[in-house]
Amino acid sequence: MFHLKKQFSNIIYAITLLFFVCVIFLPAIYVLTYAVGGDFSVSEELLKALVISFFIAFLVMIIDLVVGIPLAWVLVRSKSKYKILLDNIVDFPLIVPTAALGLSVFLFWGEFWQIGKGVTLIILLHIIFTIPYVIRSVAAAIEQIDETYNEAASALGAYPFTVFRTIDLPLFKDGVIVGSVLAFTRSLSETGATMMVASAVSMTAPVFIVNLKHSGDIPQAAVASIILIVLSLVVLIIAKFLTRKRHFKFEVIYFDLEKRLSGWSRIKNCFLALFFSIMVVIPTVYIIFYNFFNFNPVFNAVILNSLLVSFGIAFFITIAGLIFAIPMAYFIARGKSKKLSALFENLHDIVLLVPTSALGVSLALFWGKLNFSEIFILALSHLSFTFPLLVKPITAAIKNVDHEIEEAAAGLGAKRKKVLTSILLPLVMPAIIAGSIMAFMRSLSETGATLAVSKDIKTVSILIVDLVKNGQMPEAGFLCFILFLIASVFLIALKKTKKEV
Amino acid sequence: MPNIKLKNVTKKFRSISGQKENGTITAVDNVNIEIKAHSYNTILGPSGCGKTTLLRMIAGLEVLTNGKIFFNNQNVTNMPPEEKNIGFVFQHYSLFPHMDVWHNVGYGPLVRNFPKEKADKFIYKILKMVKLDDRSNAYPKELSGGMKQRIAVARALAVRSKLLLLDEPLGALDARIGTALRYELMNLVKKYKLTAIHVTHDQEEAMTISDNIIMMKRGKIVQTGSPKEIYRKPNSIFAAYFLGRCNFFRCNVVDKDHARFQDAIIEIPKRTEKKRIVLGVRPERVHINSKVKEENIQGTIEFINFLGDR
Repeated sequence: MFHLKKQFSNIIYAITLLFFVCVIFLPAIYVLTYAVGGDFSVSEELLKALVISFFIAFLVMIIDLVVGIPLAWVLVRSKSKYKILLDNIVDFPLIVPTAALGLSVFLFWGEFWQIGKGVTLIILLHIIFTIPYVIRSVAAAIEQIDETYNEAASALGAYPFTVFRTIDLPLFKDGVIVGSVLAFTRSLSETGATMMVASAVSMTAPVFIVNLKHSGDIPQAAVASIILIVLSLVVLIIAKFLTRKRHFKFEVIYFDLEKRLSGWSRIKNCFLALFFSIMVVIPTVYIIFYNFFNFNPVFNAVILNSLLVSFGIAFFITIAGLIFAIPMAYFIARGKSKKLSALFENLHDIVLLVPTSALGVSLALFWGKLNFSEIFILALSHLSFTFPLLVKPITAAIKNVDHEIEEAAAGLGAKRKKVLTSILLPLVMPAIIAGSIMAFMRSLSETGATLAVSKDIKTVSILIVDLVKNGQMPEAGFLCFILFLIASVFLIALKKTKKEV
Repeated sequence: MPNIKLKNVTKKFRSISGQKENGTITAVDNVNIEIKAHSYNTILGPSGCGKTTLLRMIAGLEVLTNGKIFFNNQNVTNMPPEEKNIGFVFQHYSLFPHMDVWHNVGYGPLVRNFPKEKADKFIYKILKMVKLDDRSNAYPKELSGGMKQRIAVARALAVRSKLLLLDEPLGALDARIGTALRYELMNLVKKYKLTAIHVTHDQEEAMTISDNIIMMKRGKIVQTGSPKEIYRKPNSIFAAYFLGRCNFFRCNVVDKDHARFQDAIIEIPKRTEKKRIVLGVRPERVHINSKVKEENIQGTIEFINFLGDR
């Protein structure tokens, strides 16, 4: 009996791993095969786009860190009552579809403040949707630090800034690295919103890739995708390498400077709040004010059709993803072979970090060979970049469940299936819901991969990009408004599930 | 420096949101004490009596709700810990996990900008004193509990403060090592003429180590004095119960000098006007007698514990 069951679970594992490798991972990096024997010339324009992309991603990451780390600090350690407000709005730019965000930023900075399309506008946009990654990752790391380390340091005579530099920063460095990698790669790969604010001379690499793909220059698009994928991998490897450093030796202290930097905490906090409000919050919600004055609810066939397609795909990939994500998460968290589990965990990171437009090119090339219908290929590509979003939180949740609880249930006579359904699943349900919401919203808002894959079908996000390109601002504004409402509902739902954890 | 005075020191905490009343909890209630230089003091009390909060207020780690603190007649009530020049040993040591032993101990001199050469010599001397000079490259997680504790003390001493504050410094160790380290701590304080304030809930620890015990209960000082004073003349049932062992008898007062328990008439050490009193007897004053006499208190031996031969 028992052997049979064991075999059964092995079969499930095998199917899951096979699914991941064949449907998610291989298609995502299929484009790399073009590097073998292909023409590998890099045009001047591509080089320029790459340089611009990297320059922007780097600058955005630095600004995110400078503002995001102190904000994360306030979020965890401050005893101020206003921090709840911050806690509630930090995630908002993450969940608002980037196309809607792009339009909102364009209307606020571009139209209202008259900043021309180009690098400045792209940077202003990218700060908004990358800074939450830095704040959340760093805040999570700060929460892990025992507060008595700070007390010990200050009792030994260290001024607050010195404590921050010598005690906290080394201890939450991993959070900083994770946040930086996410911010950097997100900035490097964002396509839809960037298209709205980029000019013809200042194109980022993903925008350039989509343009190449649409003009039919597949070899050059493939080359660009390969470069982006490889560079993202390099960033990931550097990050993994940096997280290894555990030990620090401080020999120097800039006593007067650090003492001076320790004061003025109220003024610093005010400056941070002001920066966050003006640079992040107001541009994000500006679209609501815009709609207030230019309300234009249009429901034509094109709009209805795009809504139907978007929601249909998002719903389908969330359900289909969950079927495989739960066993995959269980395999990574509780698998017998630690090495295999770690390998698959890393593979998920790679899929998550590959710029989506490069991913799109890769997926289009892979699935295009098989002559599937366009909508099916679109769904499969969305499955690729949302799958890790499902697996990650569920894996973390399963790892958090004390294995003894399951053993206790088994010891009380519960069969394996019963343990799973009555103990483990209910305990990780909040993570399943949170992952599903993230995957659903990501599918709804994704543009880069979608643009690279689709020819005729338009999702809501792509339709918004098109409408903006054609100057139909009120219609685009209205669609963004709908997405905004949905995002708000989901954000509230997400907060609720987090509270239950 | 040390000669510490606490005047009407009070600390109130906002009660946790789980409780429905949005009131406050008084952790330390109007405490007045004076601590003499070069003495070993313990704050003794059951858990939750506010002893750690009191120590943290002295260190500057907790803000006072009310009252004042003086170091050598200087008002230090609102001085942040980094300016106070104290040594503090935490209950779980809080050794910095990302620094080795040398840099942990050297952290205080570094952040106080002491001249490096002199500081290094002193760090070496202290490490030698706590017998861990051969482990200066080790990281905290490679050390045993007792070693960690000694490093925590060394780190607190390296800033050359004359005031050493210790929050249950032996509480996390197993009993045997804890007992051994008591004497090391005591010798250190005497040798370097430090003033120590040591928080503990362990009455035996307090008795063996202190010159002066400050006994607390529910945020208030119950009694202060040398271990002998408190042991021999406790001012309350709580003091008698908490320091050393004690047998209690509820008696009816017969006249101003005598009380009755069972059939025995007992002389009261202090005259009283009350009708019912509790008498406490230390175990070493109890003599067991198998022949029952009228003036004796009767009892039954329920079980005998073997603790070794005398």
